[in-house]
Amino acid sequence: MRYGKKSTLVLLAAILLMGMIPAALAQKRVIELPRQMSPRWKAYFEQVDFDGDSVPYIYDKYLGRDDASVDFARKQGGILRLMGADIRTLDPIMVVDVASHQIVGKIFEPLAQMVPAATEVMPCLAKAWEISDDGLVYTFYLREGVRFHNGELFTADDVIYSFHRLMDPSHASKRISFVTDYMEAIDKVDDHTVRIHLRFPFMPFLSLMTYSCFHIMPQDYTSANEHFEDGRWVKEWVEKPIGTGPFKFRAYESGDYWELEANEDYWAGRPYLDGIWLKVCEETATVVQAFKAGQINVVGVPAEYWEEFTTTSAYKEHLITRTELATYYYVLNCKKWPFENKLIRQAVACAMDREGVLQTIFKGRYLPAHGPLPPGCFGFSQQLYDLYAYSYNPLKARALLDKAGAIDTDGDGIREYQGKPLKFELSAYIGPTWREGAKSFKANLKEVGIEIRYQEYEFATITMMGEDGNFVMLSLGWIMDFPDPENFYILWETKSIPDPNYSRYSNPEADALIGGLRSELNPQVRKELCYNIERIIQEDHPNIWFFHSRGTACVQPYLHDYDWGDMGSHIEKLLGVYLEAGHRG
Amino acid sequence: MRSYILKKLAIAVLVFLGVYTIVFLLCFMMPGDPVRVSMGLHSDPQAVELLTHAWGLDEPRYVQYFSYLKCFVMGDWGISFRYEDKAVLGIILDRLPRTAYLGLWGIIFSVILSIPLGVIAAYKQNKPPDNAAVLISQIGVSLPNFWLGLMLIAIVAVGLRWISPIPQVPHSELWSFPGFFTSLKPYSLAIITLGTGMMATTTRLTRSSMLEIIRQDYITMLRAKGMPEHVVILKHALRNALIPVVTIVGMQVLILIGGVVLTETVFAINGLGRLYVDAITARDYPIITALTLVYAAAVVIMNLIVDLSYSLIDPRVKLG
Repeated sequence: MRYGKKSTLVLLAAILLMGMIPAALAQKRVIELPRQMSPRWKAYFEQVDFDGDSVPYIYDKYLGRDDASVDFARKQGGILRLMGADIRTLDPIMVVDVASHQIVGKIFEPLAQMVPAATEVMPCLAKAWEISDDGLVYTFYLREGVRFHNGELFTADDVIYSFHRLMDPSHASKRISFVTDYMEAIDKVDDHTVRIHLRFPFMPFLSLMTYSCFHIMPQDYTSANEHFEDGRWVKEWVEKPIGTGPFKFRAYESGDYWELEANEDYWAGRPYLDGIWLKVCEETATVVQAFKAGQINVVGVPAEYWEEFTTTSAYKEHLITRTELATYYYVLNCKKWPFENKLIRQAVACAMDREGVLQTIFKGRYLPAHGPLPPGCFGFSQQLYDLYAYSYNPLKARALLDKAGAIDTDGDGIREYQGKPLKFELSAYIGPTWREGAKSFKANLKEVGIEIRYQEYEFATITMMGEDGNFVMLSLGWIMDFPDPENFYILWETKSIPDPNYSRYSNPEADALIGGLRSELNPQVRKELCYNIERIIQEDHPNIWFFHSRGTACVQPYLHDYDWGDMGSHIEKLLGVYLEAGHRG
Repeated sequence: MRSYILKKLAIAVLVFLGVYTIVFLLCFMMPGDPVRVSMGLHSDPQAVELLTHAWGLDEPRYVQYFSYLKCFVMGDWGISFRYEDKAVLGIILDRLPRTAYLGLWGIIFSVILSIPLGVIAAYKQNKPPDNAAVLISQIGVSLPNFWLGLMLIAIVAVGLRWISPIPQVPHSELWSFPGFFTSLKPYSLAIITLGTGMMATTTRLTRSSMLEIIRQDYITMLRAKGMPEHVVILKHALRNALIPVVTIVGMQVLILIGGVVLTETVFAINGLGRLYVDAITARDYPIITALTLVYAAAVVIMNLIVDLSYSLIDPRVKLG
């Protein structure tokens, strides 16, 4: 199958592949829009008649903005000024952090990308693709005439080179498993076609392909500017990374700032902005002051400033809030006293007033979590969320503890379980959110006869404790690498013990369902699988789910069309973002 | 004098070796594996193995100890774990100008204010100028660096809009002419933040040292001889009172290291202080080790300068 000019069938298959509109199968003109879309993208969906050759047209129109020639005169210019964390690397295959992703994803591009401000997959350097019926072979048809920032022409050789570079153990990529776990081989069909063979059918493969490690690098330039010496790669090209992306690298001073400039020759038309400048600063108070002084255009609203930003009229009108595909929770060590007993895990879940804490302390900033999957993620069930059986209920918590045999025998207000008082440490990584939450939870648990001691550690120590199993209850958050439930459920697979399955939870039934989810291609069946997995994990409580985060940013009134999707603002290419005239200095 | 300096340098080598050994041991005693920290959760075992090898962490500890020591002496300070494509020496040299600039002006700010304040306070003991100087130094000591920085930003930069909250000057400009002076304005809030605590401590010390000196018999005698008061105070009293002050100013280089971390964090200045904190969080052993040695060098050199300055201030002091 291939995107054809006239084939309706092919078109529908392509749409399905992009995960946009499963409903189109039943009624091709009824388009189920992605849950969250930028207004411009949405407008195209509403305008375009889905009966033929429109899909390539849609994204070309969107990215190319050839309808916006008038807009260009009005919107072009200015530097977007930001503040954030320092990057760790400019090498796409080494990226694991948000800060590096933010710059790398604007210089380099993958074959497939996320829809702007959404999580659906759409073509990028590949103009189209087809998947074999068995789900094992992906054929990517590459865009022709695309040039790297140094003028080199983009071809299949660059794709093969980039994938081989990722797979080369000497490069020690942190994401080598994204290839070795799923891919068997990649081969070149012709200058503008590549074929990828998978080890097994893996439904989220296209989502995975959007990750930065799959960004395409120019073969000639990169290979000429890096060499292997004394057991490591010396990369001269990091002084001037070259990609095909909408922004070109201009400068980077470690720990200080980075700067990008618009790629005038971008294959889909240059961005409105002339460039992006990011000053490295993680001190929230300073970032907020810099925003107030007009030194930066966007600020991620920190927890401690939430109230000020949501109540002051100058700010609250310019707030943007988006859900994130992230869940924050307390890991319970299922192999350690007292949490080897499911009843006690359930009791703790019932004893903790998550909704209350989130409402009173966090002022409704976050969504209470009732299970692993965040809203917005494929497979999330509103019904399961609403019918969660272990919401705050001290009476039920007490009953569960009684049933587990945890009784206060000495009348000191703390229950004893297996001869020991129910006292243990809650290990958390340093941060105001966990600290504030713990204050309330401590009181909640005391009410039902459990005493916790709150102790903070650095994140490095927390991960070490998690891997070693040297904890009873610890705080953790999981942000999706790619928008598929598989990326969440690995946390509870037996084969993921000890990392990332810190809870050491093992349930053969859940394992079988997660394995099935991984290779199942039918979206409806996948949804059912997710519901079943969710149901089991919700009941077993290897974790106490606390909240799903929401990202909130405040933008200056003169910044427009700044938006992002569930995967976070760092992956956005910012093609449609513009600054009003008079604020472009 | 020469033998004194040579002796000091020999001791410095031993100090470095001791510091290196302690830092090396501490790095490995710190909880958390740098490879895991770098990869985040769900690190692929194959990738962990590859990176551990690439960073040389799979070698026995003693091999790592000597190979890094050798490289360090040869001037190859290794590659940072956190900034994976960058050499440690390059990163430190990139950041040194800002910290040095901030630190130098911080000390100048504190000395320029504290010594006159201390002298006036002592000279006018228990009178309004003394009370004012004591009050100022009391406030200076009590204000946490961090809080003072934020207040200055909120009032001067955001409220009054006199200057931008974050100094944005290329580091190459800081140590050029006239950049060295023109950069003072954007850096002023940071310099005040860093220097205030030091200023307060030095004022108090100058005051008490001066009080002790001006009560001595030789000062009374000078006055009895009819020597002008400004000569008595500035030439005879102050010079003698300066010895403990110079010691404390020298020691403030140590305090400065702590102050610089906070000041750089508040003002988003990419200096060595922030680099140090980030390196510890990321378990970036090469940076931690190199920076600790740089700081040790700074302390050794500063002590040497302080010792040498004694003989300049008081010719009776003989070194050797």
